[in-house]
Amino acid sequence: MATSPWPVMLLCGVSSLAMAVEDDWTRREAAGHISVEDATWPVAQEVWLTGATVMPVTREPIENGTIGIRDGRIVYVGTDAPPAGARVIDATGKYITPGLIDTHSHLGVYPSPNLHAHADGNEMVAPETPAAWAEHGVWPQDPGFDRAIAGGITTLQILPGSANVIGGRGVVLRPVAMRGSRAMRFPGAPDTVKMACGENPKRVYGQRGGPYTRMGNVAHLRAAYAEAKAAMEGGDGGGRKRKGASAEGRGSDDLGLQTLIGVLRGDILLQVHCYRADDMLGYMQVGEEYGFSIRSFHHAVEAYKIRDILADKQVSVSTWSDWWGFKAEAFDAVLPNAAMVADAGGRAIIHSDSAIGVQRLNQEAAKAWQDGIDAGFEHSASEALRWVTVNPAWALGIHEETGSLDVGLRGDIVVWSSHPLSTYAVADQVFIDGHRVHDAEHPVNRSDFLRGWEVRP
Amino acid sequence: MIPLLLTLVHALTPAHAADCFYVSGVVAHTPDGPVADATVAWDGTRLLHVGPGAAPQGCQARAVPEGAHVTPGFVAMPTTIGVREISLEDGTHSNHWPGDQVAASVRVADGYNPYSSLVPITRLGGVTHSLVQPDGGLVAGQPAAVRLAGDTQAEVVVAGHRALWIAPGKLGSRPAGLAALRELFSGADLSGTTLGEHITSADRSVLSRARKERWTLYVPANRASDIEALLRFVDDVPMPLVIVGGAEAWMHAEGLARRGVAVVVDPLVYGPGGMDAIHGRKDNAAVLAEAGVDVILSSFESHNARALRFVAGNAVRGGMSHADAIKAITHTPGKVLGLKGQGSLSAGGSPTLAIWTDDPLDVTGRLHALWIDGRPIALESRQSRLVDAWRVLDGPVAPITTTHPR
Repeated sequence: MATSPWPVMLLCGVSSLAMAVEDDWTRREAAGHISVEDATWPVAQEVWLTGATVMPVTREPIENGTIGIRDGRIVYVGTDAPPAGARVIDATGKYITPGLIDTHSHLGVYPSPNLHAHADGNEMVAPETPAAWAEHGVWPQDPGFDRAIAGGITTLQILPGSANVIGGRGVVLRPVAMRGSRAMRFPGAPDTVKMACGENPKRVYGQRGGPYTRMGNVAHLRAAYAEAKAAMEGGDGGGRKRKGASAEGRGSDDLGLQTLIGVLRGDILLQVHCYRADDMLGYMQVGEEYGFSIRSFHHAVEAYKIRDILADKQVSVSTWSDWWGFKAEAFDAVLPNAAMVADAGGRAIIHSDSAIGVQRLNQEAAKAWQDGIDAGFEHSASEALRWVTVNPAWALGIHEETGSLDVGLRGDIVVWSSHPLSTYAVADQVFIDGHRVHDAEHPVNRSDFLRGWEVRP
Repeated sequence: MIPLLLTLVHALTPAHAADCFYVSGVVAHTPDGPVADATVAWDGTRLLHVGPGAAPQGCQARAVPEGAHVTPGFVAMPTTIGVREISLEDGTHSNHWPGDQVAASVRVADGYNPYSSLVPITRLGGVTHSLVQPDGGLVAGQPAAVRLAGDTQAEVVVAGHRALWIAPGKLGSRPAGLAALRELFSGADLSGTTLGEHITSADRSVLSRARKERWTLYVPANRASDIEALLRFVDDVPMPLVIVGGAEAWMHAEGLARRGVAVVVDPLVYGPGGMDAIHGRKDNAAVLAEAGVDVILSSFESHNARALRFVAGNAVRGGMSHADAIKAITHTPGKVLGLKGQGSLSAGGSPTLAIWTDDPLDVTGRLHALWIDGRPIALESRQSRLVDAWRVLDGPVAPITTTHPR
């Protein structure tokens, strides 16, 4: 099956869109997601891989396993031989995992090389910019996309920066450069919204009208959602008919409100930059007050202190293996953070937030896994791999499409040279929708920026 | 709070010089490469035995996991450990003097805090020594070589490493910076010039001594042409040079090797991160080592200097030999910093050693024990204490009443 352009349907478990396709909000969403460039990929040739240790992550690894991909989807995972005459890749001695998923990337919006002109990730003009969309800042020529694929990444969420209390929409992309970012979108993935608590908004806006404090951050957040809630309900909360509110009372022509209403409807998934436990609890309270839920806290270095609550409320935790200390709110980070979250039954995710880390996200998961074992929070290798596969897929609302090796899911897989939870593992081959997009023996460059520098003087 | 700090910093009581210990059946990472099934023995002052064969009589055996590896302590450079507790909090910085273009007389060592939370945290990555850098202008000051154990500056600052941190680009343009450096080291009278306003008599005296005594110059540079210009600079002003960054250093591997110029590189960074690193490549470190350049591997991080061993593992992943990668975080930086007896696991050297459950460059290798100059180091840090404090969540976390005896 070819990938399809937006809008097909938002994925199950996330959206009420399918049931409400005719409402104003949905119609405006569809118009905002038109792709000018044809975003349809050709159907990949059928392929089978044999002889590898297949690590589905949702169940135990399969020694000497076989995996088949037809029409871009996984059609078989087990120990049988491929059908006669099938195209077979011998992966004896290799390890096969789902394609890795990074919930926190700024590739394209803060591309390499680092140039002022290409810094398109933070719309630092006001503390709330929900009308801004990351995909409108993504530079598809960022060489980082190819580097990410070479590290086994098949899906990533590109987020606006964290200067703003509400920074704008994030976008879930395939890291395969197209001419425009719209055509790189993961087909059917819900939009996301980036919010931030703590130090960043108050640092950026403290001298520019506020918020000046954490109190101000929360006040701004409540005001924004109070307005959105009123608009969604057809008024401004003060009994007056709000300009822009639709006759049906389901939406608004205001683009920022359109975004926030999407959050309140549950159609747009919230991704919140937050470090400290108390800050996280504060934003969760606002969610309970206005009726939104947070899909993932990002960075969340103090998640271990509230891991019971996060697990209970089904809030996933996107964190690093070991970053700390660069700011006061990152001072209480601990190495087994992810392992402690998982221990409490929560969804742990290892994210990169880095053009370097995204190139070896498997190693970051491996470090966090081993650090958990050292600290007495032991998990299986499959659980550690879930931190960079199915858990991030869930945080992005695409877990029924990718993130594990289950029949019916997209053919997003990585063939590793050795156990993927090792420093030395190399992604030998990477497949997206059954297309081989990376071959370590024959690397390709898709970035125009990197062309021609080898020409001799 | 005080008792906690003292426990952390004092680690454990120093081993008695007469006590001697050994581990056997380990992989010992010596300057000549790994030695399998080796015995390593040490007392409070020196390594007594490294290699095949039995330990000296009377030494106590220390149990180690099967397949253990022993390395020297790792050397992280450059860092801001001990001079920058929290990056975004200027008030916690004591290595930063913006605006002073010539701060030759300023010594980072005077601002170094041996009680920094980064010290025990970094040690848990097997890192035992560091070069702490200043951050300023053209001549940023004198970096400090430190040992990551001990209570006072006098105890931890490694004497004898005479060096200056130089950043030509900080003067506005790189050629202007190099031109100014030629003037500064020639002893020219710059009073009356813009630069002259920054130069104290102490700076002048340090610059003159540095030139005469051939202090080491640390200079950040990534672009091949900048490295080339620096090589010409030290041809004119002969002083030991360490290139810091070196993303495109492989393009001048031969010239670097011939002049004995050391290069500090991060093998993870090729992207390119900046326009000065367009020609960066993942086997940069491997190519430099192959050409005989003194390669030092670095993460260029301070809070995460503990990850140095994984950086080295990635150099191996990028094509460097395992032995070269170990050397690039032990012997070579030890040599550049003038750490006598450190950085190599050989009899007679300092008893600074890390014992690992497995290959330390892979994530599966875990730190089993650490000794610095004959002192056993507790494998604890502020972070491990946080984990202990939050290990169990059962009901209200903070006790409402205290049961502490009065």
